[in-house]
Amino acid sequence: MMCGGAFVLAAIPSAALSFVGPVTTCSLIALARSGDKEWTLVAFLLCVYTLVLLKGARSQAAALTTRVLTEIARTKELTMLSEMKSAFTANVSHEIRTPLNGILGLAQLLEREPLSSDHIEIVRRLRKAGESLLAILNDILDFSKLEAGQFRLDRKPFDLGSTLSHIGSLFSGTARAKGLELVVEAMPQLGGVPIGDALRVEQVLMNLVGNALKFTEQGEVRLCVRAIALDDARVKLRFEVRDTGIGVAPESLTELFKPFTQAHRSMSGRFGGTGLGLSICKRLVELMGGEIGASSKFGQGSTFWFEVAFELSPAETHAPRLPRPTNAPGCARLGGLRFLVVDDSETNRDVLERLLALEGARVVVARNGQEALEFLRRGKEAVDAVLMDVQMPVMNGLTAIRNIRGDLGLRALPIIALTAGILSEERHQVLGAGANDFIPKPVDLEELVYTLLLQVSQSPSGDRAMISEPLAEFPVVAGLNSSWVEKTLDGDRDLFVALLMSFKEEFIDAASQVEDSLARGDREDAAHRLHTLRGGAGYIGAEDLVEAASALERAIVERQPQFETLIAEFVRNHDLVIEAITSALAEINLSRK
Amino acid sequence: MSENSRVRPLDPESAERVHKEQLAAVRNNTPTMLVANTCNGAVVVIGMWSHADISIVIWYSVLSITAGYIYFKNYVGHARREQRKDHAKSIKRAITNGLALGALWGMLPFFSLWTPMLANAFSLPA
Repeated sequence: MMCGGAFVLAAIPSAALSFVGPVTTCSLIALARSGDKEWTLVAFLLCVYTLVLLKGARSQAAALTTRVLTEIARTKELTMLSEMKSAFTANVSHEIRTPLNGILGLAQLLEREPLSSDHIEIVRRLRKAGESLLAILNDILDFSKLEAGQFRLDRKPFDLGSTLSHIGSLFSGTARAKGLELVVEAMPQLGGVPIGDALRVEQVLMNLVGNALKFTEQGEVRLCVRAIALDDARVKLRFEVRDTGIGVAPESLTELFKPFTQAHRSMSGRFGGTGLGLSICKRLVELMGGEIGASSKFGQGSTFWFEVAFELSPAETHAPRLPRPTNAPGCARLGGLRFLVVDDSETNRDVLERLLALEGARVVVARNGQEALEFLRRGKEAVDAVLMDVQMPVMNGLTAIRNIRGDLGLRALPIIALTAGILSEERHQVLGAGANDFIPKPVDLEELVYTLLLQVSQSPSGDRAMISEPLAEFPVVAGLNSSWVEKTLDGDRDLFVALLMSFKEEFIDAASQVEDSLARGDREDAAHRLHTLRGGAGYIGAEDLVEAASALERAIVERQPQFETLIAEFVRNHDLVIEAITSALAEINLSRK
Repeated sequence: MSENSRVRPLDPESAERVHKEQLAAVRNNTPTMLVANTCNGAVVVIGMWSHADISIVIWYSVLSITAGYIYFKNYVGHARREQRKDHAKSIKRAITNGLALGALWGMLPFFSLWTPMLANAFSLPA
């Protein structure tokens, strides 16, 4: 009927009344005045029908409101559930990572003890099992974050070349151990620095290269990057990881990127893994606005690729990066430094104390933020940096960091947060509170040393001067790029001297050891020694030695037949550096006396 | 309105959502209502044909033209997009449309009074 108008307009009460009002009023007036029987009936019917429909329309409007309110309540409930899920994930992560920190830390400590070869093997397996558990945990957490839409990407200019070399150096050992060749092709010229999330690009590449190495028994794994579209402001890059492995049947290719799926059911038993890696890669690449895919011939190898477009920022000249220190047992890389470790877990405090002591550092411990504040306020013992747990009773890490920066005014004292939480919000909170950096738990010794050295070297001398001796003139050592080291270490003479001493102590026989290894035909050992030496030499600015060691290492790894010239060059540079350090240290000692 | 919504005032976010849904309901159903009005008008004209004259045809024509005008004014091309953007204007239009149609239907019972007057004025057969 025409009074459907009332139904339709009832959702807006004023509009409904504007329709019903004239109809009802006019009908009532007509009823009162009309003498004609038929028209009176029309007026009566109109009046009654309009009023009945108005009542129905009001019910319809109420139903609509109820439906909308129910939907709103459901949305709120879902949001709350999602928040609860995130909190649960964060808590589970924290609760699992904290004991895992103890297990892996103690395993790292045990590895450095003088054990029998059987025991070393057991400890190594224990550590590997812990690391596998951590990798699975990380995959599951990443996946749930992606599912919940909580993954945030950073947008910063990054050095793609160094990302690729990092991947290369990270997997070169695994490839060598399997007798495979890992080839990382050179980066194309881009005319700018790509802006994006380097960590996530690296995560995807690590996953693809790791898979390729896992499923390849012989031949090579090749990583290459091509610019498929390039202009002044943007570049679209295609990353490809090709292997000569077992390949994937065409019908399984599409299934690969689905969660908890592997190309063949038997694979999870044979190769392990949760089947989440490629699914996470797919979601990450899609989050970056790109696409991912694969092509393969069963039994002949596979190519996994992804394409992502990056904006380009004008080319910047990057300062040389501190090379990541390599595992060097017996080398006191943190010699002469003192750290305050704040953690409520006795195991974690013990692990950190022992790990840092292994590297020659002295450690003061506190059980919570309050104790740490009191210690720093007293100022009796100087510290070079603070390692602060985040979740602690009495006073948590965030409050403690804010108080150290605010109340105590120690704005330049390096504070490194130790967090078992994995959500980016937690990390942003930590940095927002005033921490210089954070290290995720379980703590990896190499990462810990790298971060501490980086932060201590970058810290302005003001606060450290307050807690250590005044700085003397920075020593110049022949053959070393002293000006770069001075800049990198922010003029910290003591740290430089400590680095020189530990370098000399550890690498004084490096050249003869490399020669011995090569004479024995143990190329792997020689390459490993060179790799280790490169890390240490990078810290002290021994550029020529780094270059010579790199050239020789490359020649050894690539199994070039002739490298006598390179050995001679390396030995000459090594001897020069050791000689220069010895005389510089002697001069420094004399001047101290 | 439901009992709950009477007791507890809605928070601004929920009120906005309810408001949007109400407008959407009106906007989506109005074309059907216009067609229903026109058809119902035709039924009345046919039903009352023996008791009316040419004036009821004029009434029906006005009703149909009004319905058509409302449709084209609100639901064709640019107007459709505009209406989605401006909620205040949408409410104003709904009230105007309701008033116009209500007035036309309200006229209907007065035909018994108007017919002799119209017949006299235009010299039409009563």
